[in-house]
Amino acid sequence: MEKVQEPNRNLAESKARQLCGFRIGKDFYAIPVLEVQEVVKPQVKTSVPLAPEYIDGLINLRGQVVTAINMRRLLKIEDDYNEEDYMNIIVKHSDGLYSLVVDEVLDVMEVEMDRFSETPPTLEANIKNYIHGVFKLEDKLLILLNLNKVFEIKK
Amino acid sequence: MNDLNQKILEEFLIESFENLSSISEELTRYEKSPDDSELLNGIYRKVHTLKGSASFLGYSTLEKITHLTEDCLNKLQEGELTINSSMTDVLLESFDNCLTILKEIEKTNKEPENDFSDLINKINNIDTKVDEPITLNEDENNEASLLQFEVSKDNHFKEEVVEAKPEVVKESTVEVVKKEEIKTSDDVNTMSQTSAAVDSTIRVNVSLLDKIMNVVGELVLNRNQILQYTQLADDSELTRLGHQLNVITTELQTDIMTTRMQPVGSVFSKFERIVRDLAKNQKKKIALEILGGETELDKSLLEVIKDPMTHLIRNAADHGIEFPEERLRKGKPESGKLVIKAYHEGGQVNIDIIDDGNGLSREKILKKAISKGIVNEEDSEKMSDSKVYNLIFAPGFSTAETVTNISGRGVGMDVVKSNIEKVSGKVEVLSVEGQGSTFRLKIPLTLAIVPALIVNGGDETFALPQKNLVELVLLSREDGHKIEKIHGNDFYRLRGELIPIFYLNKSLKIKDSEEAPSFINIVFLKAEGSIYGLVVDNVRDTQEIVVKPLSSGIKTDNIFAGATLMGDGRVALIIDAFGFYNMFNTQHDKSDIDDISDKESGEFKEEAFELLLCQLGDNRLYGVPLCLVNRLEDFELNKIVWSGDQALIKYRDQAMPLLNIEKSLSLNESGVLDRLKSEEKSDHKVFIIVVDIGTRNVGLVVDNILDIANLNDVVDDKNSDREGIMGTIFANEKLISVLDIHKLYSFLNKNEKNQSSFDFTGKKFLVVDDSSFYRKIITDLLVSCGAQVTMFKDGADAYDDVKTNLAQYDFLVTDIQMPKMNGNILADKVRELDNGENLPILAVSTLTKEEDTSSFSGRMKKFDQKKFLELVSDLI
Repeated sequence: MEKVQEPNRNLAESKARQLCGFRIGKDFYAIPVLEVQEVVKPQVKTSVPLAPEYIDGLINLRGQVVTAINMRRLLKIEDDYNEEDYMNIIVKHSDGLYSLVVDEVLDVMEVEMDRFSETPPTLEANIKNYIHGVFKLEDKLLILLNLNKVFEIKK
Repeated sequence: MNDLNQKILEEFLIESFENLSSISEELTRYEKSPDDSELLNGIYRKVHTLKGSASFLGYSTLEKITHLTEDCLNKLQEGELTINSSMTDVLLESFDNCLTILKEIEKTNKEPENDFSDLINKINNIDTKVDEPITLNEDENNEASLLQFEVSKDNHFKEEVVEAKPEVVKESTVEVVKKEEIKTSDDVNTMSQTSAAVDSTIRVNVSLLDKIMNVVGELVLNRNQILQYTQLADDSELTRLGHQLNVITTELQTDIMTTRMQPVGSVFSKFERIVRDLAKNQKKKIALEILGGETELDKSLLEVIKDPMTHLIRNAADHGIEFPEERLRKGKPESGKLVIKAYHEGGQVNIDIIDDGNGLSREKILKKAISKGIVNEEDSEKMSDSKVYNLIFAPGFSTAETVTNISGRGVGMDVVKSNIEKVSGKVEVLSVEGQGSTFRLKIPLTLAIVPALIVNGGDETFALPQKNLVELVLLSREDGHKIEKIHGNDFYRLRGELIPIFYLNKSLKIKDSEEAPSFINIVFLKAEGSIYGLVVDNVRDTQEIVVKPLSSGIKTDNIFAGATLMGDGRVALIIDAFGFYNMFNTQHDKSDIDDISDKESGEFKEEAFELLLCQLGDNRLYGVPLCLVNRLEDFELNKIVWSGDQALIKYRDQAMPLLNIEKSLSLNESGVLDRLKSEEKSDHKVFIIVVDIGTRNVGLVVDNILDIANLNDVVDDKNSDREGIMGTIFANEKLISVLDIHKLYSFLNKNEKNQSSFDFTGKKFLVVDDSSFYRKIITDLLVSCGAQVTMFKDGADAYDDVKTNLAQYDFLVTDIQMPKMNGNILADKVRELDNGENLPILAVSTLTKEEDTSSFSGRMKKFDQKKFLELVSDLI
């Protein structure tokens, strides 16, 4: 039987290039495009009492319960923004569906691996945890998220 | 192998596993009632089918075994033989071997290459007395190219197989086999029964059923939505259609649920064999009685309860029921009675496992629990019997004084409990000492769709599963005083009983909605025997809700059992009545064993380490740092050789010294080894923990190896009462003495020279780590290689020293996460010193990814001794 190729989460080590970019605050982030199930507009949310504050709540995506993670709060990005204006990036993970709540979804982009570099050591440790590394694009820096860590919800 | 063949093979495997799964039980049943020819015919048919398929697919070993077995069964049918116990044994063994072969075929498509001649001999010997030569038809023999051997034994069936052969080409194996089955059967009744069964049932993949179940779940939600909508709309036709949809959906839902239902008897019958084997092994007499086998349960639930039940039944047979002599002495009938009973009660299925054996002993349990630190002596006197009995479900608890191979590793009962609780079931234990005990498993009928009460708290909606609901009480505001206070805690007198009251909004920190509700709604819930009241803002209605799982991150506290979708499409959380109670019940009863498991999910500090828990002769728990453990082994006592007083064992072609820890610690005059030696059980197993001391293996002899504990506390070295114990630590409220392996080793080897291949003699090391545990281990390791070590418990102290004494040190080993000054800063600062750039600095940390400075010469994860020594010798 032919071996089915799994989408590799650890992009830093693979040659995957297609990324889904998005904006949180003033920074640009990305995840491998194969991780993205779909992008949906704001939905009615049910908050989860006593959960970590960056859990925005649960949303109903056509009968599936999705856990929404507020990326702003997770990455501690604090500047003025419009609470109502956001997008859900739906990502399928081993224990269910998650939504990354971000400010704006950018295009799917092709990025070459030679633009990649490891996370700079000077970043705050708890933020660095969520990041694989950075793509140095011509006009901006694109931060590659480590989804496994993002979904590892701790109190 | 091509697709078609693969399909045929799959069919063959499915069918054969199915046949074999019940065959052993049927045989044991037949042994008990040898007059039941119907049962025997059934067994015979199954074996025959298997033989036919095996021969068709060319599995010659399997064919040979089944063929002989079939012969033997045939003789039983003909009355040439009568069943006896040794015969049953051989037949059972043959079925077991068939299973083994099938499993191998499933894995590799090939038969295993084991030698089954022993078994074949045994089967042959059963019928030697009646073995008669059968003449063989020449032309048949030629035609029977598919049957390559042993044909001479049985011409009757060969004919059938050959006859069926032409059809093989155009039809699947299963059908061929069915045809054979029908033809071979002499019994007309059976024939019609078989074909009827073939016509009216089909085999459906369980995953397909699961999928249908999910879709029906969606449909139920959709119906709920539509119903809610029709209530708003003023359209009689729509209302009528909505009503119809309601009825149809409900019917569909019930029907789909029934497709997944299976009689529990299918699981129960397996126990016949288990009990029979156990009784035989143990030379006990046990009569097994199965009642209510027709009670139905969801298939997925059946799977889950199988293992816990097996464990309970083994326990009952092994520890519960006494030996015949003992029973007679106690005035009980010689043969013990074991009853498995299934029945419906209050929307769930109860399964009782009842034995008339010894019963649980309050004293013994308490003694054990106290010695293991599960309860303290003071509390133990006040504990009710049922609470005491429940202690047996605590992790690491086992009352059997000797561990047999049948049950009693002390890890079983807590697994039973947790498995049953995983499917929201419960385990109860009732027992009368000396008269027997009853284990009652309470299993919900199904998991996917449950009736629930929908309530509001603030603006949020929650679902409370109906099974936890006791009653609802509505108080007007004026009656608010009926909720009374004791020490700030609220209570309500429900028919004279004082029931604790919790507030949903307050507990879950939900904002109250703006208009205060005009009534006080109290929902009384029961959870594991406790009843409590929950004040909610509004009680809406009851609904059939579909339970959707929550992602693992947000269910950590078990307050919520899942989520569901409401009619308006919003998500609502399902409150887990028991989890909620545990979370907010402030009068936590510390001796309650439920606490133990809850504590495990507690927060993690960074400096985690693992201990291997073991026991010595004194029933206390001892821990060996897992990073030192190489392997766990057991040896037979007679493999141990003695060189003077030193026990040695051949391990990986080297003589490995064995450490008699009890002796070294002066706990006991004699160690485990001496005790076993004096008992002269030369084949007794000795448990040995192989540890690395430097690069050398040493075996620690222990009584029992229990578990691995993941700890993040500080090892308290104040309580180290003797040399060889590093200190003590609590895990799950049990006290563990942490062994100082290097110290123990030095007792053993006062004269022996360091044999490590690493030699740091004359080198001075600086070891900085806030964890006394790792500080000690690193230091001991270095010292064992001849190094001199200075220790500090944080970066600041270390820096103060190194500032002035830098020249003295040859090497710095540091942890990264430390109080006052962390390893990064320490390394940076050392680099800034004069000549500081030349000192090798090795960072050793528990965390894999974290900020680290370029000042380190190397870094590694805690803690692999070999890697550590290699790194050090590279860097130095």
